This record gives sequence, C-alpha cells and structure tokens, in this order.
Amino acid sequence: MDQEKEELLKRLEADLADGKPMIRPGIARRPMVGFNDLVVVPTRAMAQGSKEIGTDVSIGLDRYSEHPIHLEVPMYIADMSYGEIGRTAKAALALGSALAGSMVLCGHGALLAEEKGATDENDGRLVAKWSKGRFGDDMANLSFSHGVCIDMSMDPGILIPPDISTKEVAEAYGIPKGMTANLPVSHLDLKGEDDLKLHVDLLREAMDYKVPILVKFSGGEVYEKVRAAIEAGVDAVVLEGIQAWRARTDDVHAEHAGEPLIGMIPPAIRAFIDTKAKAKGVKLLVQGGIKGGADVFKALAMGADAVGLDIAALVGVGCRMAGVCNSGKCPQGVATIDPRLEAKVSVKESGEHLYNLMTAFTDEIVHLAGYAGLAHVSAATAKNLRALTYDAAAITGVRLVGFDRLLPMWVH
Amino acid sequence: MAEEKVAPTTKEINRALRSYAEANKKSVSIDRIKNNNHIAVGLDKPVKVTIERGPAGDFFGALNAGANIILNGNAGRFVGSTMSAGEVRVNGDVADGLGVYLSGGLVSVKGDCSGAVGSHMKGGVIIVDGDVKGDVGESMVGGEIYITGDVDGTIGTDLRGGRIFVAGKMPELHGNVKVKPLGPKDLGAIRDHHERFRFRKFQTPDALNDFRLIEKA
Repeated sequence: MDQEKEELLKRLEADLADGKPMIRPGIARRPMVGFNDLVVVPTRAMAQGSKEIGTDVSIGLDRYSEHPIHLEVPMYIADMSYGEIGRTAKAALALGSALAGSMVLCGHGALLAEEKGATDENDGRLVAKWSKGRFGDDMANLSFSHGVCIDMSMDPGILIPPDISTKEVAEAYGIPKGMTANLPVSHLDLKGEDDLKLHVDLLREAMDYKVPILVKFSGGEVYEKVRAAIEAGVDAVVLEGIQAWRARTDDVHAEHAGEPLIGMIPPAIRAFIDTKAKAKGVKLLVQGGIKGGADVFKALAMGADAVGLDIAALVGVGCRMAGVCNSGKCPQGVATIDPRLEAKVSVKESGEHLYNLMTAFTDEIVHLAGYAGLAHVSAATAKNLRALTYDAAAITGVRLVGFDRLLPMWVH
Repeated sequence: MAEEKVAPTTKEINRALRSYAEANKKSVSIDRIKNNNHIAVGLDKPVKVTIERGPAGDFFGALNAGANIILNGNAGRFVGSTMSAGEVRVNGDVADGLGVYLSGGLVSVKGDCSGAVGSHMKGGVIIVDGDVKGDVGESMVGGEIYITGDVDGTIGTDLRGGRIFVAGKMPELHGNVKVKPLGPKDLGAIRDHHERFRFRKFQTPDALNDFRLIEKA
C-alpha cells in the first residue's frame, strides 16, 4: 500500500473507533507551495566577500522601548509551549539561541526557571507570550522578559489535555492539576480591532516602555491584520504559516487551517508599504516550517526581517522526527513532559547543537547573500529571487524564471 | 498670559506611581484622572495608591502584582485584568470584564458591573457589592466570586473550577453548575468580607445567609 493510502486509512480508522478526529503532530504532510518554489539569483552588483556581510537585525530600535532586542542573526526560535515540549528542551532552546545571539519567542505558560537561567547566564533574550488564555502571564513573568508578543493567532482549542496536566504543567499554566487548559478563541479583554492598540499600550505602560511589543497572527486577511497591528503601534509583526509545528492537533488544522507562509508575506509587505512601516522601524518576523538557511534567505528577500525556527530548532535540541509528538512519549525526550524522557536531553549539549545548527544556517544565508551580491542580508529583495512555477510567481510577486518579469497582475 | 495647567499623561502618572513604589513609599494619592486607560498597571510593590476622583478608563489596575489600588469613582472595562496579587478597589460602577484572567489578589467593586465578571479566572477573589448586568464566571477554573446583588446573565458557563456566591436574584443555571449548600467556612468568609467592605445590600447580619454557593455540578 502506498503511503498516501496508508495515512488515509489510519485517519479514517481512528475516526471510526471513537467518533473523534485523530490527534496527530501538526506538520502538514501534503505538499504545499513553499520556499522550494523560489530560487536565488544575483543582481548585476559585484559579489561581496562573505566575511563582510552583515547579518544582524534589531527589534524596537528608535521606537518606544528603552531596550530594543538586538539579534546577531536574522533568526529566532518560534513559540513552542511547555507541555508540547519538555523542560530540558525549552532550556536547550534558550541556551542555543542565547549562544547564537538570538531570541526565543516563548509559548504558552510561565517562563521556566531553567530557561530563565540559561538566558541569564548567556545574555539571551526571551519574549513572553501574551496569550488568549493568559497562562502564567502575570507581571512576574513579564518582568523577566525582553519583549512581549500579543498572540492573535488561531490555535486549536485544547492546549493541554488533562492527562498531561501534571503538577509542573499546572503550575506553569496557573491552573489546578489535572485540568484541561482551554484556549479561548479570542482575548477576553480584546473585543475589536481598536482594542489591539489598548493592549499594546497596556503592555507598554505595564513594562514601563522598556521592551518591544510584538503581535503574532496566523493566516487570513493578512493585509488587514498587519495594517491594524502597525496602526496600533507594535514594534514587530509575527506571521505564522500553516506548516508550523504543533505537538498535537487534528487533521483539519494541520492540513487545512491556515495559509502557506510564502503566501502571507506579500500582503503583509503591502500593508508595510501602505503605512510606511519599514521607515518607522517596524519589523516583520515570519515562521512556520523553515528548513534551512535557503528558506531564511528567501523569506528575507521577500521582505521579512527575521525568521523563526520551529521543527529545525527542535531537531537542533534532539528531535529525530519520530512523529509521535502528540503522544507525549517522544523517544528523544523533546516533545514530552515525562521527567525520565526529558532527562535524555542534555541542556548543555543540545543547546550547543542548536547553536551549531543556527551557525550553519547563518553561513548558508551569508553564502546566498554573497552570491546575490549583498553587503548585508537585510539588503536582499524580491529582485534576488525567481519563481520556478507560474503559481509561485502569481502568489509571491517574484519574477517568473524564463519570463524574467513580474506576472502582469503584479504590474501596477 | 495665564499659565495653562496641563493634565499629566497616563505615562507620567504611571511613571510617578512606579517611582513611589520603587522608593518603598507606603502610600501615594492622585487628585483625579479623566477617563485615562491603563492607570496603575503592572505595579509589583506593596504601595497604597488612592485616586480621589475618577472616572478611570479601561484596564484600571491591570496586571497588578502587589499594590493596593483604590479608586473613588467609576471605571471602564477590564478592571484588574490578569492581576496576580495585591488589591484593586473601585468605589463606583465598572463596565465589562471585571477581574478577567485574575490569578490572585482581590478585586472589589462597590457598585454595579456590566458583565463578563471573572471570565477565565484562575484564582484570587472578586467581590461585587452591587448587581451584575451580564455573565459571571465564564470558563472559570479557580478562585472565588462574591456578588451581593442580582445577576442578569449566565453563571459559570463552561466553569471547570472555582466557586461563585450570589445573594440576589439569579438566572436558571446551566447543567454544568449547580447550587450547593454553604459550609460554615463559607459563611465565615462571607462575614469576614462583610466586616471589611460593609456590604451596602445588607442591613441585618441574617441577610448574609441569602448567599448561595454555585459550583461545578
């Protein structure tokens, strides 16, 4: 039986067994348009020696916050929650990202002592999530963080099922042990788009204008959402594509709910242009299924300022894609909260591996930037890209290879 | 030309409060605010903040983590949102979302609330000495809500933990919650709160027995 048939049967059998959709890890399995549909090309400028090529980016610089976040590399760790991944994996992500001069966008639940420790000791950066469930999002948590990201993305409703709601998870989420952590579909104190500004201002006031405020969206009406966020005064907009990793979700979310990342960047850039946001220092961060330096470079060339790593970062800290994240019994000890399994992740070693991985990605980005003739990776533009397919050219507004011009619908 | 008196901005007020708190001052008072949003948010020291005249806008005392904040006047939406410790007291009416996402501390209102009281509350105490013209305790997982007046909305929709006490009229309950008998400890807690807040609705101590306890069925 071919793989496709096997997977269909597995899903249908799970459905018929108990009348509930099959829960599975959240990476889309079916092929979707992505960064592989683009290639990198030089412009007529002279190629740079790769040693001179800059890779840094700042979030919140020359805006409202006293302490902008400075990233040495145009990458960060995408938000993954305690409960989806374990204590040691979280600490290793914090360590690896700190060593790389990067930041971690934190998931649901209070920051763990281990990740705070790894961050403090290595001068890392953690950005707390202002979540729709406000799990552990109290002032003590925010005070430690170097930024706050208002989560406006759509997630499946049940974040923590009761069977993994242990004492440790309950403590981090601020809920009684054994209780399900349900994620409300929206912030209960954010009723309309106008209220987003109220939240940006609330967090600026509560954090005494010290740290950048970010907002995160998933697919759907990207132009309108990004424009609203910019007008609400955020320092950075984070977009998450459908290929993002989740420990547990169902088929409809994993395969059908959301937009491929490369389709989200163009409307976001249109909103940035219409509001002159880049000139005002607002940054665009994108994440969801990034696999390597080439993906990062292409996202930058499409207009992003930094790119978040999810599954690649998990591999960095020990994941070997066993595909059982939803079971909570990850054989590598990453997607689990079982202390015996968590112990398989050595924070130091895994953190160093993640650092190596991010260093290799940075080299790849720099190589492509050098090939494209750029002095800084942020100088990459859509002119450094060609689309391999008509569809990719239509979606991205990148020149179609061979035709070598924009498709007519992109010519204004 | 006469010197114009400029009202301080929200940022200036909050910075002043923060500097008092950080200097370990015991108490500070502000003459009045005019509908400012986000007043006295994110304070994490045990300073007493009194605002002599309102009204306050939205998110009054939100993210409080230890201060004792008092407002004489009305307040807008989301008073004490995401607060984890300390106290916020409003002597006046408030709009929607009193104590949403509360995880600790005490939020009290001497007046009426429009609705969404204690939604997604995880801990702490909310006291309303007045009526609630909307829902109470939606998706609540922990903590306690006391309402001396009537509730004109739903109670405990999708409630999974925590306790709600209502003394006035209340609607028919959903299947997931039911009225349970008050224990001696509950009565003791109610008396203690009455002792402190002097509930307007109660002329005689016997009236305290009017409270009904609503919990997960």
